[in-house]
Amino acid sequence: MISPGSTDDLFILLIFIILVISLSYLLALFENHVFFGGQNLVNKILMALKMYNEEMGWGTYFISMMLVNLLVVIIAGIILVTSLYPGYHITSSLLFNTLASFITNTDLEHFASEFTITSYGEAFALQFLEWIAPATGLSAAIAFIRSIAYGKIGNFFKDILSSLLLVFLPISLILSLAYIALGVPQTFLSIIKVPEPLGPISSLLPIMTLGNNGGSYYALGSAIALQNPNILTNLVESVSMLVFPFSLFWLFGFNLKNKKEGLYLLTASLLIFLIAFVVTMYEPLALFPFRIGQFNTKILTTASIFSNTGLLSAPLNGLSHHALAIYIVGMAVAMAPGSIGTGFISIEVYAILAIFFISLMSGRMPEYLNFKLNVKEIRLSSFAFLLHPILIYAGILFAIFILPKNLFPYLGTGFTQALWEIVSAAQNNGSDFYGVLGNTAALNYLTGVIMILGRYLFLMIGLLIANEFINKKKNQSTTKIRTDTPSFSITLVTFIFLLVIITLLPLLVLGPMASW
Amino acid sequence: MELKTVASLLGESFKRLSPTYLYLNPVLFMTEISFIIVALYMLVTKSFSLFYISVLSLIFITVWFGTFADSLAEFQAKATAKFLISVTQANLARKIMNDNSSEILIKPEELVKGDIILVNSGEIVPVDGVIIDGAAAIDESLVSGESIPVIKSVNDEVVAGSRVSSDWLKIKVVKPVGESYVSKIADMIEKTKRPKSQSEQELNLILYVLTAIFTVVIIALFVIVGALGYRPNPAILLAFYVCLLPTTIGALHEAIGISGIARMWKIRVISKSGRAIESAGDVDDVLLDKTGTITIGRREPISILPFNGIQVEDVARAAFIASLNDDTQEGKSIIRFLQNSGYTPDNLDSIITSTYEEFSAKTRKSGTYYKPSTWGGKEMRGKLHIIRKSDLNGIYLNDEIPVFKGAPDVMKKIFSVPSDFDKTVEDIAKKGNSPLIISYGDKIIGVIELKDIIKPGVKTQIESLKKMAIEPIMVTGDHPLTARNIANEVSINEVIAQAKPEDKYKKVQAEQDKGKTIAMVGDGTNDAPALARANVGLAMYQGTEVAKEAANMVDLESDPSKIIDVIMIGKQILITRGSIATFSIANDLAKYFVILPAMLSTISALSYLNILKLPPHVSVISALIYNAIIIPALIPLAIKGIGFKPDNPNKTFLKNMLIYGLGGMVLPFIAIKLIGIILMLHIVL
Repeated sequence: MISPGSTDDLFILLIFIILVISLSYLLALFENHVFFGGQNLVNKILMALKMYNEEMGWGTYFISMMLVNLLVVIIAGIILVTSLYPGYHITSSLLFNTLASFITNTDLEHFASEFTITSYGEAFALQFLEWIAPATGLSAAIAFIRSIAYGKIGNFFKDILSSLLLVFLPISLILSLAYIALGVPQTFLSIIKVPEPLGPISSLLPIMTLGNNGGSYYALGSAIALQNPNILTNLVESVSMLVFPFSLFWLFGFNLKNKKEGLYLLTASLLIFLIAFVVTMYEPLALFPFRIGQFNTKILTTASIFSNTGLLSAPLNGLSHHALAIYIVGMAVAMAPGSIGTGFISIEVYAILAIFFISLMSGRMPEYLNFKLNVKEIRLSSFAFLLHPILIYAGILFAIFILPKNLFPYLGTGFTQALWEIVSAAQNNGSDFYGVLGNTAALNYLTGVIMILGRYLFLMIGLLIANEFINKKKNQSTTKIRTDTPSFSITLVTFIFLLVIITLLPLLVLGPMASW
Repeated sequence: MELKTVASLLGESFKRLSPTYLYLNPVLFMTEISFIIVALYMLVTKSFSLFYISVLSLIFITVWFGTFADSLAEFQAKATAKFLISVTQANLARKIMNDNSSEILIKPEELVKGDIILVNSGEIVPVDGVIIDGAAAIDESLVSGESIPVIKSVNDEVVAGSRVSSDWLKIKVVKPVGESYVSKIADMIEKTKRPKSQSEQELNLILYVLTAIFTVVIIALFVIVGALGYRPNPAILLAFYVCLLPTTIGALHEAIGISGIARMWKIRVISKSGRAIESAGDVDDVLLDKTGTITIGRREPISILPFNGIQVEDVARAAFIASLNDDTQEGKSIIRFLQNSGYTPDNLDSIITSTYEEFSAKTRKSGTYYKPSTWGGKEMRGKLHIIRKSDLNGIYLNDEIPVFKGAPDVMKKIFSVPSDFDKTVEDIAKKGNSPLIISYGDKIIGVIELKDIIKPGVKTQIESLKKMAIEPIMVTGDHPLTARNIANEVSINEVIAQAKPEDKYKKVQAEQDKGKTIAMVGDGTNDAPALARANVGLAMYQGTEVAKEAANMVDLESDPSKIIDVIMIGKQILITRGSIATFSIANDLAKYFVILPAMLSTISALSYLNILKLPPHVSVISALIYNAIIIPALIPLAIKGIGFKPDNPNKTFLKNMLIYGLGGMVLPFIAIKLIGIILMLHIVL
C-alpha cells in the first residue's frame, strides 16, 4: 500500500493534472474546428440527405433534442428486451429506470448487466444510449457557446451528428485500440466466464469515460481487472473522464476571442476539484483493487464523481465519512468540472448569479461579457439553480417512505446511502450504494423521474438562457466587471461554495456528517 | 423628530404588519406565517415557557423591524419632499369662473388643465402653470432653494410650490395636481405606485427563490427528522427557518430603494423614475457642457486686438455697441471691461434704442443694428472712417449699421475677413482663450480675447469620474484649440468643439449604438431630443419646459455639474443593495452551525457541530436575537447608503466583498456567541 505523499503517487498526480489540462486544450482546438470552423462533412451529409439544416430557434432545438432522444430510447428499449439472457425478465419499472438512466447520461444500474443482458444487448442497446447522451450534452453546450459568441443557437441535427461522427467516433476508435493494447478484452463471446464474462469492453470503455456515462458491462465497474487491468488504464480512464468537460471551458474562451475567459472558469473548476482531491487524499480507503493501489483508485474515484460519470473502481462503502461528504458536495456542485454539457451550463448559471452580486457591489448594473443582464436571465438562472436542490429534497422525502425496510435511511450510514442515491440521480451521476438492492418498483420510478427532470429541465432552461443572449447588444467599451481575472475565479468559487452549502448542509448533517 | 411624527411612524409600521400589505415581500411574509404557526403550536400544546414566548416574540420583532424600516424610509423621504407636497395641497385654490367675475374656492386636486386661478400675495401657487395676467415677485425658495425673488409676468411659467411675494397673478393651469413634479414625487414613494427598478426586481427574484428553497428545506427536515424517529420541535424548526431566510435584506430592501430617491431630493434633483437613477449609476459616458459645468457661466475679457489698419478704440466702440443691449452675464462683463478700460462712448442713447439681436445656439452671434442719430463721424471719437454711408457696401439697410460679435467660424462666413484673421484667432486659441470676433458693417475689424474661468474643484470631480471608468466628454461651441486647452486643464480626453445643437444628439446616438449608457445635461429646447434619447437626461429647472419634459431628471438648483452627484448616488444605491444582500446570505453559513446542533441536540452523534458550545435553547434564542437586531443595526447603512470613494469598479467590489461577504460569514459567529454568553450570565445570575 502506497501512502499519499510518496513520490510515485505525486508524480502520477502531476502527470494526471498536466494531461488533463493539455489534452482538454487540444481537444478544445479540435472541437473549435469541428463546430465553429465553417462547413464540415456533416453539412454535406445533411444536404445530401436533404435534411433540415437551417438555423433553429431555441424551441426547435430543444424539441429536436427531445424527439431524437425519445426515438433512440424506444429503439434501445426494443433491443434491450429482446437481448436478455433466457430466463431473465425485466420489470417495466426497471426498464423505465434503465432507459431513463442511460439516456440522461446517468447510467445508474439497479441490476448487473453482465448476468442479465447479452453482450449484443449491451453494445447495441445500452452502449447506443451511451453515445447519444453525451452527444446531446455536448450539442447543448455548443449551442450555448454559439449563442453568446455569435448570436445564434445553431442546428441540433448538425451538432449531434458532428459530435457523434466527427468527435466521439474517431477519438473512441483510437482509444479502443489503446485499451486493447493495454489488456482490456474485446469480444462478443460472453459465454466465457473468467470469473466474470468477457465482453466488448474496449469498444465500450472510451465512450463510457469520455462521454461521462459510467455505464459499465460489469456491476463492479472499473474495480474489475477486465475493465481496468493496470495503473496505466486507470490513468487513461481518469483523464478521459475530465477532458471533455474541461475542454468546453477552453472552447468558450476561444470563441470569445479571449482565452482568459475560459482559463479562469477552468481555474475555478479545477480549484474546487483539487481542493477536494487533496482532502480525500488523506482519507483512508478501506476497499480498493490491490493492483491499482489506493492513491490511483482515489484519482479515478474523484475524477469520476466530480465529472458526474459515476464509474467506480472501488465500492463506495470503502470511503470514509469525510470523503463521502465531500463527494456528495462534489456531485451537487456539478461544475468541477461536471459532466459534458451540463457542467458547462452549470458554471455559467453560477457565474450569472455571482455576477449579479459582483456587479452591484462594484456600483454597476449586472453585466456579463459586456452584455447587460436583464430580469429574464436572472430569473432563468435562479430557476436553474433552484431545480436540483428541490429535486434532492423532494426525492429524499419520497425515498424515506418508499425505500424497502432493509435500506431504511437511518441517521448516518443509511441516510448517507439514500442521499447519495438521490443526489446521484438528480445530477445524473450514476454511482450508487444500492446496486441490485435498489431494484424496487418505487425506487426505480422515483429515481427515473428525478433523472429525467434533472437533466432535461435543466437543459431546457440552459437553452432559454442562451436564447436571451442572441439579440443582446454588446457594450463596446471595456467591461467594468471582469470575468477573466484570478479574482473572479476565487469570487466564483466562494459564491458557489456558499450557495451549495446553505442548500445542502442539513442533509449532509443527517447523513455523512452524523458519522464524523 | 417630533412626538406626533414618531407616533404616526410607529402606527404605520404596525399597520404594515397586515398580510394584505406584507405578501408583496416574500421573506417577511413567510416570517409572519412562521409566527402564526408557532403561536398555534404554543396554543395547541399549551407550552408557554419563557423559551417559547421568547421565540414567538423574537419572530414577531423580526417582522416588525422590517415594516419599521419600510415606514422609516418612507417617512424620511416624505419629510424631504414635504416642502412641496403639504405646502401645495394645504390650502384651497381660487378658481376664476368663465364669466371672469366670480371666483370659487376648490381643492387644488380638482383643478384641470386650462383652468384660471388667482393667486394673491403671500399665497402658494398650487399647480404648474403659465401667467396670463398680472406681474409679481415670485419666491421659489421652497422649490429650488433660490432665495432671491424673481419677477415674473405674462407668459412666464410658474411651478407648483412657489410663493407669490407681491401683488397678484392670474395663472392658467398647465399641469394639474396629478401631473406636476410634486405628484411625481409623491408617486415615487408610494409603494404600490412605484414601479420597481430593474436591480430591485432581480434581487426580489433571487429572494423569492431562496425563500422557496428554504421553505422546502424546512418542510423536508420536519418530515425527515420525524420519520427518522427524533421528534423535531416545531418552534425550534421555525426559528431555524426564520434565521435562514434572508431577513436582513428582506427587511431593508424597500428602504434602500426609497432612501435612494430621497437622497436625490436632498440634492434637489427630481427623478422621474427609479430606472433613471439606476441608469445614472451605470453610465459609461457623460456629456458635459463647457459653460456652466467646467467653466463658470461667463468668460472674462482680457484684451482687445484690432486687425490690420484698425485702431483699438474703434474696435472697443464697436464692441460696446454690440454688447450694451446684451442681457447675458458675458455681455455685461464685456461692458464692464470696456468701461474700466476707458472706452465708454457718448452716444449711449442711440445705442440703447437700436434693435438688438440676441445670441442663439444656431447663429452663434449677437449684435445691434446700430442707428446713429447723426452721420459723419462726429459721434464716434477716434478715426473710424467706415462710418460714411458710402463705405457700407450693400449691408447698409434702413439707416442701420450691423455691429456684431460672435464665434470665428460663423463670423468669417458672413463678413469680410482681414488677412491676419486666421493667425490671430489661432494665437488666441492656442493660449486656451476664446476669440470673440467684432464686426462693423460688412467688415471684421477686431477681436476681444475672452478667458474662461474654470470652476474650482472641477478637475477633482472629473478625475473621480475617470477613476470610476466613466468617460467625460466636453461639448462646447468654442474653437477646437481653445476647447482642447481647457479640456487638458481639467483632464478631459474627448472634446466636441464648435458644437451645434444636433451634435449632442448625434453623440448620444453614436455612443448608444456602441451599447454604452450615456448621461447628458441640458436646458434649451434644442437640447430636448438629446435629453430624451440619453439614458440619463438632466434638465435645468431654469431651462425651457420642453427640455424639462424631455429629460428624465430635473435639477431644481439648475447646476449642470450636479450630474456628477447624481451618478454617485446612483452607484451608491447599487452598492448598498448588493452589499447588504451578500451580507444577508453570507450570514446563513454561521446560522447553520448555531441552530442545527440545537435542533438535533438529542442526537449525540452531532454534538460536535456545536462549535459555539452553547446549550440548545440558548443557541436558538441568541441566533434569533442576532437575526432581529442586525436589521435596525443596518438601517442607518441602508438609508444613508454605504459610503464609497470613487474608485475602479474592481477595487470597489473587492472592498465591499471583503467587508460584507467575508465579514458576513464571520460576524454572526462572534455576535451570536457574545449574545449567548450574555444570556447565560443572566440565567446564572
